[in-house]
Amino acid sequence: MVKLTSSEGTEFDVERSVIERSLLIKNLLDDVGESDTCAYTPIPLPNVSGPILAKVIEYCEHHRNDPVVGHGDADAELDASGARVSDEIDEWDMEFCKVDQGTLFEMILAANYLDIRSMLDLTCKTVANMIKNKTPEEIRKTFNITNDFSPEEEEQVQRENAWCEDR
Amino acid sequence: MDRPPTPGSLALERPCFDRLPLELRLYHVYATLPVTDLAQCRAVSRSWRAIVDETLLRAHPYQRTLALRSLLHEASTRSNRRADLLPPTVGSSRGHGDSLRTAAGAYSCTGHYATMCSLPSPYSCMPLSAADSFPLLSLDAWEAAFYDLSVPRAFDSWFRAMHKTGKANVEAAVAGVSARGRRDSALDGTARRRVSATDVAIATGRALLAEADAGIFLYTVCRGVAQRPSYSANDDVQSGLCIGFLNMSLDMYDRLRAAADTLNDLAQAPVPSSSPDDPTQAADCNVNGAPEAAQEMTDGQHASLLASLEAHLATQLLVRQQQLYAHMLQQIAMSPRFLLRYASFCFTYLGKLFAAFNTLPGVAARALATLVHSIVTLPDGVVTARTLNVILICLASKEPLALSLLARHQLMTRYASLVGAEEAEACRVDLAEVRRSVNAVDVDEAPAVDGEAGDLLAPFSVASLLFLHNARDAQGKEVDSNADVPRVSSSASAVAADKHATSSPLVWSAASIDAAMCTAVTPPLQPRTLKLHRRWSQDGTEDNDNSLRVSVEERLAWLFEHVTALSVTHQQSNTSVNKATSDAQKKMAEATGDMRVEMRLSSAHASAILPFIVAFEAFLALHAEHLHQGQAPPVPGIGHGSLSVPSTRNIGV
Repeated sequence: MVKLTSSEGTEFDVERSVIERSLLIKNLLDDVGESDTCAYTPIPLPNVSGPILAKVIEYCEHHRNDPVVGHGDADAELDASGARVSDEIDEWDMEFCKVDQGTLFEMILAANYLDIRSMLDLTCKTVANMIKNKTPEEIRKTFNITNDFSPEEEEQVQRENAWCEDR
Repeated sequence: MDRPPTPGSLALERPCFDRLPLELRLYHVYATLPVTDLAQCRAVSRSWRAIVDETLLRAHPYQRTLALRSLLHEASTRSNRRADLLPPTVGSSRGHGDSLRTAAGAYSCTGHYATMCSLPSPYSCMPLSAADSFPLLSLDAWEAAFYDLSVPRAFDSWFRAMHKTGKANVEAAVAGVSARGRRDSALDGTARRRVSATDVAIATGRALLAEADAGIFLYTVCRGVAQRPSYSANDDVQSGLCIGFLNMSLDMYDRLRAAADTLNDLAQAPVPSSSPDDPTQAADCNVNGAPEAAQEMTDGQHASLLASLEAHLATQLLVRQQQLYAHMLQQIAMSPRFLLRYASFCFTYLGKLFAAFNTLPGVAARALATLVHSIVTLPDGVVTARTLNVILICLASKEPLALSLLARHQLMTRYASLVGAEEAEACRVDLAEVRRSVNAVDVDEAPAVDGEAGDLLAPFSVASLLFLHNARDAQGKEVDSNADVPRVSSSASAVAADKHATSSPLVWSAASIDAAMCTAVTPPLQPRTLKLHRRWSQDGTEDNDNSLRVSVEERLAWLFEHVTALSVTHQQSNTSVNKATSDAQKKMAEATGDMRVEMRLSSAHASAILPFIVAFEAFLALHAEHLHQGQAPPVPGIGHGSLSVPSTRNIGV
């Protein structure tokens, strides 16, 4: 077992095989070696809050038997052209990502920090799917973005884009 | 080690999308979106525009799939640059390759994210360099690149380079899977043959999917460039685009079909039953040291999950295959000069187009409408008696006959004086066939126009006749002002704003089209709704006082779709089509607004078509009379060439 401490100091006990989906922690544990010290010395994760760490652990638990994808295997999740297939999310993962936007972005940051490649891809795919097939106005609404274009600039962008819009 | 902001500040101020690290947004979010969605993102805000431009320039997968490096290389190293022939939009005193580099460079230097050029890629597999980048959304840059590839041979080599890249990408994906498979086998000591075959098929499918997406985007590019004034009359570019895109599409069409078939076969393969005594499964269950009891998914469940993934991917591949085919039809339809020049190609193309009526009637109708519109709007003198007669012969006896006749009617109305006697006779034969079908139906009413009236109405389009006929039916009925019909501006400025308004016979029947489609007798299956969009003139100002209009071409497409709905008899219960294909066709229909028509020629439909038949017969009679007298047919506003020009029968198929 491995003990993790969130930013607020909340402690989580996790199986080593589960949390090793995080390359950051895996490398850390590998560096420390097979000693028992890791079971008693909590690993501080100052950049991850308790609720988000709980989500991360939930994800790792569910995907504990999936093959680990690291940076060396970057192409494993990519298609031949380098694009990640953004609309293929399985049911559990989709449910897992049904959270408010703030939580979703924190999950992205946590996955990036903890170096959990598949979780990072999943959460980013979810965000990409929030953008897909939306008009600029709908995107602004979705992400609460202010339109800072002047009318002339907006018209120019529309003109530039006109040729590649679906017709 | 650099740390992100402290958790305290995160807790106080929860992150919004714009506060995510730039690298994450760039490589993990934007780079996964197709270009059309990124175009929408550009219009969100200034910062989004800058980042999206950067993504399109550096991190988008199309940069590699479309072999843009080869394109740039070709463009910058060609020695026969001729600056004096540069298209006006990219005119420069330097060589054309320079102008292209300038376009790319200017693109990369716009916005405050220019400094990101030094950002390292998070993926070793996605190395980016200035040489790879190409401003994907800059039509000027595409135009400049195409300009340098305008010689058909160079075009061909670029399309071939792109094809090679696609194949190499697929092979790399398969090799990656095989390597991982070997590694996994070495780890668990067992070979999972079925899963391995599945992995390869899925990797191939995904790679092909990406390649097809890039190909579909390329169609958009080709369409955009081909419609630019400086290229619409350039035969080399037109033929280069046509041949290149056709070859690429047909090759990809076959590969997509093969990949989809493989995936379907795998999906339909029997799922191995779960047996606790199976030593292979026991070994699988203990992979990674996980206890058997904790295994959440049995191998049977895993296999059925894979099967559903295979079926899903196969469906996507078939959707892309059909989209690509639709784009191929449309792309070539937009290049009438090329079609007119190569009779055998034209014959083959029209054969494919009419064959597509069986599966994608709406797509085929729109492509045919585009082709007809492209031809009738060519400047005078481009279409000769020979070329016109080749097209008319190609169209003869093609099913659905009503569509083929409508196309011929439009062409013959525009180029009446070029039509030969044999082509007119072929029309008569086909018309007689349609008339027999109509007569077989119990038509409620007599034809709306008699012979005399038919003479007067001969030059009218089918829609005018539909209007005259249906207006009588609709007497006493209120026209539904909310009907889903194209609203055609009746103002003179709207008509004048259309580039080819004066040469299209549809202009003077446009109001009739509108009225006709408003009446009660419209097909039960409505074609897609016409999109209204802004039009921009060459100087960048909006045409026609900010009004949203429907172009003549769109009206024609709409009309063709309606006639398709009136005339196509489609066998919907095609038992030979498997489920994936039928799903793909349904999705395709949703994606393209296509209509799957299950039509029997009802009495109402026969009534609607009958006036067109009568009018066309009258037109042909008039035409024959004038031919007999050695005079040009008195069609208003038309008169090209001379009837004495002999039509050629040498189609050379």
